[in-house]
Amino acid sequence: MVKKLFKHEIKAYLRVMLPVYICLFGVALLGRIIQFFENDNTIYSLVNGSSIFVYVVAILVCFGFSSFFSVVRFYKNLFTGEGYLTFTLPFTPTQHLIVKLLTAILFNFLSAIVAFISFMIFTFGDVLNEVIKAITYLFGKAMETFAFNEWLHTLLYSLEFSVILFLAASYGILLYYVCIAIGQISKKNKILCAVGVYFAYYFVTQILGTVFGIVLTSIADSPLMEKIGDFIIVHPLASIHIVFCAIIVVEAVISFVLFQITRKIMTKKLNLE
Amino acid sequence: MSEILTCSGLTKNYGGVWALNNVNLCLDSGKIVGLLGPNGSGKTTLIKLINGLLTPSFGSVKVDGKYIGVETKKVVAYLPDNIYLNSWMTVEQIVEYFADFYEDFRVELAFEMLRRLGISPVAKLKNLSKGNKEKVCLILVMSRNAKLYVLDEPIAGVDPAARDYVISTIINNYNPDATVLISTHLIYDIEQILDEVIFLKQGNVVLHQTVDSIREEHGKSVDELFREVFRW
Amino acid sequence: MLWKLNKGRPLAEQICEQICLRISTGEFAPESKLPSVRETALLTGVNPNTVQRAFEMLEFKEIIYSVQGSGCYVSPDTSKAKETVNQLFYQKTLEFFGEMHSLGLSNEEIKKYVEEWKE
Repeated sequence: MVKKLFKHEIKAYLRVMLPVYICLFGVALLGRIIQFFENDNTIYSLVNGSSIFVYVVAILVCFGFSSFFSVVRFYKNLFTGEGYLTFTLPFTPTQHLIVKLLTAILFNFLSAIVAFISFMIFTFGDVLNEVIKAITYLFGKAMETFAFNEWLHTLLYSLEFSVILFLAASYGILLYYVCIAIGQISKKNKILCAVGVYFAYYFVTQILGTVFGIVLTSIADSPLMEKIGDFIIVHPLASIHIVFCAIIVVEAVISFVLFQITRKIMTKKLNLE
Repeated sequence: MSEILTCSGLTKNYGGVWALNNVNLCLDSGKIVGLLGPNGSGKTTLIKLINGLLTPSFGSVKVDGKYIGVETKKVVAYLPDNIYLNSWMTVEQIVEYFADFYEDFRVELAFEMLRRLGISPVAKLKNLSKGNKEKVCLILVMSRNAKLYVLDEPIAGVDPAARDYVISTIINNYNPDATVLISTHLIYDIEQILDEVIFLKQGNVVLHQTVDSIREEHGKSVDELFREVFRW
Repeated sequence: MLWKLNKGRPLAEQICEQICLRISTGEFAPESKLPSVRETALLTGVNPNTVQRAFEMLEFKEIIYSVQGSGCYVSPDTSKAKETVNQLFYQKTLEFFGEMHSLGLSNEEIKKYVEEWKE
């Protein structure tokens, strides 16, 4: 049954995102076609310049829209009139939350892939070849530096990095979700409250970050930090693993907390008008 | 005859206000029951509790012997008092949506009822008139073969012809194994289809009786008795 | 004939009376099939359970009889239906006189008004 929930969620996303993706491909293709008429004429540089501008805007819109839509979808489908139907379907609030979260993550990554493909279209030909060359060069350099030629490390790094990406995406989306969920508890101005919660969270994390930075600089000369420095020099490869894993743990803990808060509110504190 | 709805000591507190206060209630299957009370008496709160849109502060609600959850949502068909449909969907898409999620949904019956009203399956919900939107909502709910139908104010704000449509739809889909709970404050128009009534007053059940025994005992219609109980 | 029901009295009883009335006028002939419970419910806008109860009352009084899997039929003997209708008429007349008396009219005066109304 959860499959059907996914099906309808993806349908709702596609209804909005498909036109955006098609537009992005269209703009990229048009830009590439314009480049065929390359000459020294000012009209050409004007047209080409604006096509690049339009393309960049389209990419930003594509990314912005997938995040924006996941926020709108979460709010509208659960906490407005539609919530009466959504929450009386034979599913638990947790199932709804998981489906919404995973679909949002899926479309965030899909937007990235679409943007990448559109970029290949836009730069197809000599420019693309140059870009690919640059990337392969940088990749090779990285391989040398970080012992990517040892397959075990390579595998672990890419695994860790994928987990980080996935958790970063879920953290970003869950942060919006938790703000909306807290905001809807309010009797009126639900959206305003959600925005308020978001800025309060932002403010608090900024302060915490600053405090953390101050603490870190104040103990920079301490024997503990020296030891850590020595460790990094002696075991550079292991250090990267440790940093990656630390990021994973922090992201996972925060995401888990945000998930639990949202889930609790959806279960116990639903406030449909 | 089995018990379809059981509320015991059901209490809901909303930020210091007792919306429902120690409600004890049993409904048998095969009945059409009126949930009557003025605005703010707790009708919608009770209905939201039955549908799991709220959780009780104290006490419990059970549908068909089970606490509210996925299993009870499978057997409860709920018509909220506002239009809750995705406006971008077509009539056909919303029917498909219901059919996908409710195993008891009867697709042919839904299309038959829509056809009789002359509502096109390819029409967009947002382009329908308000009256037709309300009828589509009713059709979707009554097309389910549920054990408990919960209709929140189905005749408020509709014209007399639409009122007759609602009443005949309820009668037409009557099923001796199912119970229909109808909340309303327009008692006069609906009392002839009721078996039982529940009067709610400030979160308390003040009366739960069969309609015929009210008429026999008091020699008056439910509407008249209601006006008496809820006089200022 | 319209199904005229008064919401102040038990509806099942009134449906019984209405059916008896139709039998006595011949609208429902002896041995003819009655509309089903659901049809009657839709026709009158009354709860099917109530209609069912009315049918059971009529069957108990042998005004109608039911055939398994087919439905309800009017009894060949319509005397009981007519009796019920007579009772109803008698009841209504009593009610009428009661109301007139409460307005302070004597039997003689009521008769006078009835005579006048006839002309």
